[in-house]
Amino acid sequence: MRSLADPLLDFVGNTLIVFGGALLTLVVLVAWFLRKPILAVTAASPEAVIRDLAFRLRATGHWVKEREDRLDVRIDSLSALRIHVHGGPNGTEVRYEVSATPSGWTVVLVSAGVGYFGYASVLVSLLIHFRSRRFARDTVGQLLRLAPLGTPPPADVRTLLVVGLSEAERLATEAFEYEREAKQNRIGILLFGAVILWAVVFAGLPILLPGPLGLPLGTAAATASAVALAVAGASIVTVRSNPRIRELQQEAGLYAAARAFEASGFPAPGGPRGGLELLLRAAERSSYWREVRRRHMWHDPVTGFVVFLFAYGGSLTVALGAGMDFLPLPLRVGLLATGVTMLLGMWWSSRSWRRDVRKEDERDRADWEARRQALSAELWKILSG
Amino acid sequence: MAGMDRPDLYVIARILDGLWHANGPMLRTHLQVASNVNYDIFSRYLEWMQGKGLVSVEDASDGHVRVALTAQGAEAYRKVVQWINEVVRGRAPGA
Repeated sequence: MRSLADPLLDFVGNTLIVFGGALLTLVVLVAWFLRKPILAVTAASPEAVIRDLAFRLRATGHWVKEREDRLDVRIDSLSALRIHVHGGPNGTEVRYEVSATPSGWTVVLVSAGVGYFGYASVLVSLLIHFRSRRFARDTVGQLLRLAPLGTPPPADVRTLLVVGLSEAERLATEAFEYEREAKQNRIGILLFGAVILWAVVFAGLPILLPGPLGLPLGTAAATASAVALAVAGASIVTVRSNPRIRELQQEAGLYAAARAFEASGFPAPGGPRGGLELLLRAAERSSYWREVRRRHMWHDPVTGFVVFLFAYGGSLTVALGAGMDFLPLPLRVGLLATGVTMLLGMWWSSRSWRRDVRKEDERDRADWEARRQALSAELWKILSG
Repeated sequence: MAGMDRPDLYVIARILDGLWHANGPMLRTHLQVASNVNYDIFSRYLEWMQGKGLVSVEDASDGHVRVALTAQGAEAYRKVVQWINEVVRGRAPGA
């Protein structure tokens, strides 16, 4: 004989099986954040080490983002590496931390939150972990052995061109990827909306038109409206997004070719040669590239994850509370209340993120205008002797 | 010089890029092709840059006119690259 607690135990057991992947992913992610193995210890100052290492990575064609006390290096479309440089008891310590690109984070976090896909998320996390670790030990390790760390890069024009073009390539590529992902997200939302529309029309029309024709008419109308929404919506999104995406892709390719030429000293056949001209264009475009990147929620993985967690958790909890009629009423009410609270949390997080982005855009625009005027004035001063 | 009070920075950049990458004197006609402007406009830019001491123009014994980056021009090129670099990287550049 089943007691009253049995359904509850079944529910908890099933929930643990469904969300086991997400829990395991969480363990892997905690290990990522906590483990920062040491790569090297040197007597040079942290600033000199950061500059030197950033140049060595850029000159060998890697994509580097320089921060005050760390370097973010992109390895492939999913894996990334953080290289932390801090003062320690025996000198400056260089440590690495495995990380992921925004696409990598999206794959890991979204699949971790979607039921059984959580187990796939563990595999992707481990794949990213091993790729990043191998890159740190082999590629970065080899670069560290080339010359004593902290050796300043040569202060010549070629070094400056490699650094500047590499930064322009990084900004343009990031902007291209964010814009492409934004298009895919919009199409994804449209397809989801089409499925909802299909379900509503399919269920609603037979109720409005009872009789033998209700069901076939409902099916036909549901399919036609859903397909029309999906096709028309996807076409509009594609037509509006593609020119921007193509332009950003061309820019990213142009800067990659220019950086490769400056780093090697040998021009690719038909490739760009104008280092200064391309840098001038990059200075004009960098404000737009930064704006595209900032507008993408996964640019800030914490905000993106919080919004996703609230949205997914909220809708799932509301669905459970509304649909699981075998659960005790207080538990269902509790689930519904929790779900609604989470959806409110999603709305609040998303609103606050949009407000922050708007403020940052305004600040950046004012700052950029001042810098553009200063740039023009300074260039003429230099060129006029 | 009429119309050259504020020359196009991109044309100057192209001329400087061509001379810097050539790593020595460059045939005037080759430089004009690299700068992607017609002969008249190119001549005006060359004159302007010569006036600022950025380039020197030499008539060689073989009848060809060659253009070279002066020391001042090379230093200006380095400074401009450094300055724009800082702007691209989102830092407040120092002169």
